[in-house]
Amino acid sequence: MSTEQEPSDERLSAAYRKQRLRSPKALDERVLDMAQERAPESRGRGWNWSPAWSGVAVVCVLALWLPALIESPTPIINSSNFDDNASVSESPSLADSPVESLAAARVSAARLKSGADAPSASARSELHSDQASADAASLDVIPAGAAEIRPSVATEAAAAPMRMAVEGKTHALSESRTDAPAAVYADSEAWLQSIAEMAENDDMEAAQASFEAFRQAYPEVEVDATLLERLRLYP
Amino acid sequence: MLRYAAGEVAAFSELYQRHKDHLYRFVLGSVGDAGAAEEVAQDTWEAVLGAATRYTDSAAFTTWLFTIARRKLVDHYRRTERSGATQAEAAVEDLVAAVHEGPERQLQSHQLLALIAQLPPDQGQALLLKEEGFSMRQIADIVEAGEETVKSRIRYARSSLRSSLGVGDEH
Repeated sequence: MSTEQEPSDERLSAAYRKQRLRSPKALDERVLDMAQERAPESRGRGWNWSPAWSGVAVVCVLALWLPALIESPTPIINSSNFDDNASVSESPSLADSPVESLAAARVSAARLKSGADAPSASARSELHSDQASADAASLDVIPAGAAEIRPSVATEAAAAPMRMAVEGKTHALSESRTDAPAAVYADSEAWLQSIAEMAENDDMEAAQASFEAFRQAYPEVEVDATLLERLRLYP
Repeated sequence: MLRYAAGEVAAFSELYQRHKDHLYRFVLGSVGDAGAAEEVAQDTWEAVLGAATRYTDSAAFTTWLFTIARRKLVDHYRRTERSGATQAEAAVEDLVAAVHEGPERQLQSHQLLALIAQLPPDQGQALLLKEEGFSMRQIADIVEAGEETVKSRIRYARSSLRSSLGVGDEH
């Protein structure tokens, strides 16, 4: 049914368009003020520290800072306080907290280092400070329970700290010791090789001390007669 | 919008002037009450400002703006439970009376908006967007429905308006 009064679609649209209602001024002002207040920072002004970039920055700082921390000199503990058993018991694997682990590892490393004083001054000179640092660093990164120090190690270390034999159970440990004599000394042949090298370099005092420690650790291993002869030549 | 996101405040002002009236009419026609319309419009612009840095030009700004507005309207309906009487009802009564007074009395747009606000929201919004000049495709994008659905809603909306005015429907 259709009537004359019936508003057609066109009439409805015309009515809609006739008086174009406008947004109230008060609303306009509020919105524009809000836009002013919330305007994003103009790009290119200063740094935009997004969470992702902040994370990258933290990683970079740690990457630079950690090696410096690891290579920093560890405190030397008087060798008179050195106790083989204590060295083992204070290893990081038995410490209660990460902080204590770190402290214990440093103490153990320092004690091992201080043990170098026992054989002789020249033997100590053979002990590369880098190696001691590397050992300390390796211990720093060992998770609790991840490393065991053989009981004989402390004894060996008393005579020659570089001979610390560590059976690394973690990839990190073995990786950190790929170029470390301590890992090499876990193998009797390699140990003998290092002794032979000391002898060849005429560092006989260190070679002899190292050999003595070797004998305690591996009494059953047969040693090449040439090396024995050379060591015996040492006055 | 991208210019505003880059820190150019004047760009937003320009954008606002271009769209503010369309948006306000759409919202007013949807809620039927000037106070509520201001509130919803402000919420919409606030959301636009808040999302400025995430805006991409993958969609037309108007489609994006009205999509936000429609969502704000849905929030408004939830808050107010639209079924109750509103201020728009008085305007509708006035409009119906005006129509029956005679053909010389013209429909006023604010009265029409009040009447549209009485329609089911989906129908009212589709009709309002059509009256604001959007294409069927754009309306479909904004109301998140198919084009055929939109056409149907508009048809029902017009039919309901005619019925509300008490003049019957075309057959």
